[in-house]
Amino acid sequence: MSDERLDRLIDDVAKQLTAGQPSSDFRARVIARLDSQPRVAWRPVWIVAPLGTLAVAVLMVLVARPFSTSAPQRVQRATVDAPKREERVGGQGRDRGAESPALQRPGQTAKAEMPNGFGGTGKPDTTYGRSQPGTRDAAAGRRPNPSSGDAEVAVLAPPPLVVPPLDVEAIGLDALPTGSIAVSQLHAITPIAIAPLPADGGRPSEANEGRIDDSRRPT
Amino acid sequence: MSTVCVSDVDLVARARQGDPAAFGELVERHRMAVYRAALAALGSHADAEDAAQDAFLVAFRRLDTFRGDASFKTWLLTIAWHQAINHRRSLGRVWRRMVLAKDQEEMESVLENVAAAGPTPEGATAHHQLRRELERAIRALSPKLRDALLLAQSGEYSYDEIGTMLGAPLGTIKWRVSEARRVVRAKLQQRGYVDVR
Repeated sequence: MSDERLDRLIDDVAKQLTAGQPSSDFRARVIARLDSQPRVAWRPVWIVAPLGTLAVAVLMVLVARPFSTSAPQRVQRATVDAPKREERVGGQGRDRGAESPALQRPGQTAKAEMPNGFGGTGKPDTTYGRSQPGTRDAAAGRRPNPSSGDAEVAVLAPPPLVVPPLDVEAIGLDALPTGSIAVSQLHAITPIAIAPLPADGGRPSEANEGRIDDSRRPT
Repeated sequence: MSTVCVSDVDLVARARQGDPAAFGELVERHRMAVYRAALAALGSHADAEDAAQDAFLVAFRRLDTFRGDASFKTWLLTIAWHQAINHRRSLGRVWRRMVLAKDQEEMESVLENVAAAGPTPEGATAHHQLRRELERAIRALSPKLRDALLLAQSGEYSYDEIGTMLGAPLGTIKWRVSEARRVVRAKLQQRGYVDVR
């Protein structure tokens, strides 16, 4: 059997498979079902959209809540870390200002106090960096919690800075020699005589051609 | 009021305004196309009837979304096809059972009539067997190939309309129809029907 004849037979069978008619009362059934179902005057989107917005808002609150409730934990940890930090610096000072070489007593060196850098531990002191209130919130794009933030700031505030008086000798400045400045009299300047330019038929002379008349120059 | 010369768009406008007769006329005009699309997808007359009715109900509810970019028939057929596919998915097991048994009886009655018109009893019998094998091979096609072939051969739809219904380009639809024929031919040849005259 040729492919063409077989294809025709295939098409014929396919047509038979989709042959048929709906029932004679098809239209009446559809209309009856339409009448039995009142037309929906509202659209689901009117309900779904506010519900979706509400769900997003609740989700945002739930997500943001752990950060706000963790503030007391951070305060508690900061209070625990504070004595440790004092031990690390050896009582020489409580903030970095006291550790600055510019404020040290003469003869003291940073290497003698801190052989391995900050506190001698070899690790950077990240206490403040970790407990800075508002910093994490700002980095995360959130507003800081004002109620917990004030308490946290109060607890984490560094003690008042005690700076020992600097032993600096007075700088003695000798008086500068201040002789009178004698200015010789300037030579007299002879006045310059300006003669009117010769008018040759209204054209400037070759010597004056190309010059710019200062009186006509725009100011 | 006579609706013979009224276009589909006018009927849609009247149906939107709450005229049930206008929508009834739309049902009358397109019931065959919708029904055969559902039949091509479902293979069962009863399921096709239900799916076609559901399609008209959904179309009535969505009349406001008909913008007239395509013809009303194409828009309606797209809805009908989606309804039929949803039926087919929900009736997956029933579909498989039906493919093997239920419609076999219906088709056999049809094929017996066709076979009875053969020139000789032997020829009619062979023709009958061949058509039965063809039917089995068509039903065993993948859904994409089978849908394209049945819709194309139903005589109700253009290739463009089939492409819109199935969500595929025109070239893809033509390829699927051709591929469906090739697969069916190959199956028949495997079963020894190559030399049947």
